[in-house]
Amino acid sequence: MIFGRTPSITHYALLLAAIALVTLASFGLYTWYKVDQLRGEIQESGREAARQELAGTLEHVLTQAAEQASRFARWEEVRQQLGTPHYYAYWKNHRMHQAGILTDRILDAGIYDHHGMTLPGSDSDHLPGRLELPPPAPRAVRGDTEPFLMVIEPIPAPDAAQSPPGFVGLKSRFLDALREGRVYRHVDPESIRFDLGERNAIPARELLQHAQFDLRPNPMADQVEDLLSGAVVNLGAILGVITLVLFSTLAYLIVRPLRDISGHVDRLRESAGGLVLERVGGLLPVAETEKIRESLNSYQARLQDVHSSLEEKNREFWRIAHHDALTGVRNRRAFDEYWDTLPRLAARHSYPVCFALFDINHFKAINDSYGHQTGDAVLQSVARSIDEVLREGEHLFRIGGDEFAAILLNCDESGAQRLGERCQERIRATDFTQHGVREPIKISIGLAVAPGNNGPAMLALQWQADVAMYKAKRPGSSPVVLFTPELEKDTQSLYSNWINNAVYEAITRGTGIRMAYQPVVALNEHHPSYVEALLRIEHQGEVIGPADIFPVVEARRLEIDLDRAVLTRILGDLRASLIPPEVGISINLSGPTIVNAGVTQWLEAFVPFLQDRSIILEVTETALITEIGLATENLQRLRRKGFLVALDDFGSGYSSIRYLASMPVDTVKFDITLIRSLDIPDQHHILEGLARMIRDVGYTTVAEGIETAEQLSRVRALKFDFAQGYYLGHPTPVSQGLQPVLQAHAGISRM
Amino acid sequence: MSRWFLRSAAAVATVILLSLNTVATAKETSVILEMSSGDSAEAAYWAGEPDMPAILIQHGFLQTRHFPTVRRLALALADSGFTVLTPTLTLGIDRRTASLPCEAVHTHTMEHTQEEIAIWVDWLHAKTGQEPVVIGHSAGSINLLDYLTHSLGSPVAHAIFISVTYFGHGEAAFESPEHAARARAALARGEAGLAEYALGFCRQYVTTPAAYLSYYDWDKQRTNRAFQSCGVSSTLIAGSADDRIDLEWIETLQQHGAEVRIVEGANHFFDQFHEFDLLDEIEHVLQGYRAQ
Repeated sequence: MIFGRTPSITHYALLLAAIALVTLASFGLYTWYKVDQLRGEIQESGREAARQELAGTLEHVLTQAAEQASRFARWEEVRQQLGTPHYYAYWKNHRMHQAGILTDRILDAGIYDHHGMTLPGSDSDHLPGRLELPPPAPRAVRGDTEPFLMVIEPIPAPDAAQSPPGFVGLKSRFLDALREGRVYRHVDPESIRFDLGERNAIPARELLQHAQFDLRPNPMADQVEDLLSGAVVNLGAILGVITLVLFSTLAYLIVRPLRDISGHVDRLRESAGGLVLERVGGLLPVAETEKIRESLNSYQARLQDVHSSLEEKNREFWRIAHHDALTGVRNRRAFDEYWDTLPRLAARHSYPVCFALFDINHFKAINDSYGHQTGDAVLQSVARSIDEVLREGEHLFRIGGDEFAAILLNCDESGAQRLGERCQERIRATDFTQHGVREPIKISIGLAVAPGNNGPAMLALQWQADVAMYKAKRPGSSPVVLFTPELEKDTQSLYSNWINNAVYEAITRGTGIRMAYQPVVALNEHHPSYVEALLRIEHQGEVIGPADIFPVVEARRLEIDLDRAVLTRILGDLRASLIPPEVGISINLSGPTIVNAGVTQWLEAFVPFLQDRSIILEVTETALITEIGLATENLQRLRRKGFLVALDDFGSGYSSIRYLASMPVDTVKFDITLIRSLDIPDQHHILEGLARMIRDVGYTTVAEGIETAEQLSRVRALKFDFAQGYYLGHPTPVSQGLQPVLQAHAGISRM
Repeated sequence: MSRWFLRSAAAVATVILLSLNTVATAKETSVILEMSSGDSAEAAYWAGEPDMPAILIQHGFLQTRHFPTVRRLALALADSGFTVLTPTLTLGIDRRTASLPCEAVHTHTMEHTQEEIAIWVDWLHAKTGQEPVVIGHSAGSINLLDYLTHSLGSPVAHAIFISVTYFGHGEAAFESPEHAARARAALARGEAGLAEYALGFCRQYVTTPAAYLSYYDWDKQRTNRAFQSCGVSSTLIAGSADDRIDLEWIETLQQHGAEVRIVEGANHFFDQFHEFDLLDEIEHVLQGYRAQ
């Protein structure tokens, strides 16, 4: 396209009209040119006729002049003067012009002898004193006001055989003769004139070439010209009017409806629908444009139906995606999205924002006692009760199993406190016996309030609410606790504000997570050494270790999020080949992750790496015991894919050794507390026996916490398969390379 | 001396016969003679029967041989078998063929005319071997008288003067003694230039004083004297209705031996039906001449 955008129908209509007008103008100009050409031809024809007319008259005049000269030359008195020129002057002055031989147009006449000399006694301003011989042909000579005709004629000798005895010269006014010589049809006689140019004399036969004249008016030609010109103008006007009428009709019948349709389409694009295009053809509807209009309306109606349906489905999808299927309140996804938008939303206002956490006391015991169905009913009733307390526009989120949250805008401390109390009242008023629960259902509420325009304070709201919740759950404490700085001091030992924020940011946003790899050294040749991936979080140059991370994670129920972030990070290191092939990796998974149905899918990305290395999933016995059935099922599935499972921190909990036999475990990692018992005289036999028994059962054993050579010697003596501890290597970032001890033992890693 | 010279010149004049000019009759020829002035004069000539008289017809004042009275008479006489010659006086114009207007420049004189007539008479005489009969019309008769009076012994058998008139002051002429006096005064002053005079039927006659007087002096008295002294028998024929002549004077000329014949009702030119009367009178005269 020539244009930047597609031209409209108006442009094309204007272009069509312009082309029509240009064509019309061209035709008019061409016709006018032809008329003008015809006019020119008529004029040229008239001029040619006039030229012929003038030529005939000029010929006649010249003939008359020649006859005049001949008559004069044959006049006997001329011969008399030629013979006896004594009285020539008298004769010329008194006789020549009065004799009636010469006409009045003869300006002068003279007689010359056979030498061409004028007869004596004659002084003439008009005639030459001497003729050039032989005498020239008649010629026109320049005069003051008009040219004259000069004719030299020989005087005939009595004997024709003799040379002429003399000559006569006549100078005449021939212009009057031309003008009066005839009745002109084409030439305006008064306009006849001659332009001799720079010459003083020209041959008379060339006079026509120097003639100038005007034409007589030609009424018939003028009438024809007027008729033709009028016809051209009338034709042009008629065609112009027809063109304009056609253009107007075209514009009315086609351009206008199309513009209406186009404008309607533009309005449809900017509107939410519901527009109907009325008749576009005005008084003269056109079937095609009407069909377009009806089709457009029909299409628009169907499109609107589809759009409405999609919107409905979108709303439904959104509702499903953002609501908890059990309780009907918004879910964790909705909470996270809302939380992300909250700083921007609240920053525009100075009002305070309240964050409230709700937790059902002893819900696990309810579940265990009455079953999940009853537990679910309790959850629904609690959620409904709290939601009824919230104001319009405030939402309740289910962010965990029995944990709910609400974010209240423009809610200060007192408002928060009132909210908590109303929620408690509503819970107390709720009849849970309908679900078969006999005990009273109580909830703990942690509240935190921060100015909306204070970003850091806003980010601390969740942690503060957690602290308040922690306080509320303490025995003897009010079930509704509002976070205060004093309360922060009380819980300082549990949470560090910046650690809390850093850990939360790292988990939720994936920033700051760094993996450190500690060698797990093989103590025999049956197994290869490997490394255990240990979590570190870097925040503003500080490194946060597991001791600070996991309390926060467990308190905030972020185990799954953390595990997924760690898995992503380790996967990145593997894909970046930061860990050499054949060096196995041990990965710690939390209890909630182990029992999650998605764990198999999350670990699917690690399967390709199982080709050249072993990947051990470390789980704690605490995690396994929580939901041992589901955990066993997931671990079996993972083992079938090639993963190994290690029971971490064995000996630090309270679980019975009976569970060990039923657990899908390949390796048992003895907790450091057990290893340290080797140094206690009365207890080392237990460890030795336990280690022997587990090894005999077929488990691979790992001794954690090896910090001295003596400990290493002992566990080697106890035939542990692997040893791990600071003595063998500290956890180091992968960027610093593998531990030397790992490389040293690499040579014995082949068992 | 001069007369002898002129006659000699006439004798050696070149005779040019234009072969069988068929203008009038088959017998008419043109004769051109060079005059003493150097100009050539032309005449019509009809060769008649040998035993018939030769006739020279002289035209009137300023006229030519084509003048109707002369022409009709010549044709009639030629038809009758006479040898006829009708010369045209040059009047100073070479081969003059047209009558000379009064207003033209006239430098000719009676003397010039006389010489030309003599040449033509001599030529006719030489041509026919006869003494011709000369016929003059009007002032041509004066020219013949001038010739006859100045050519005594000329070969002229008889003279016929038709409608004879004279110059000088008279009833039928415009000239007056004042004009003559003016011319004579001019001559006395030695002025030879042209001037306008009245002469004969010309009121404005442009000529020199001498030329004027050469005609003017041929008045009634001189004419009378010429009739008395011309030495040739003569016949005068006049019309009774001619208002340009002095009929009474003509009748008086009988006293000088001339035969006078009056044609009743004829005018100066004997036109209309009187041309036959004129011819009858002339034939009558010629028959009488032949009888002699």
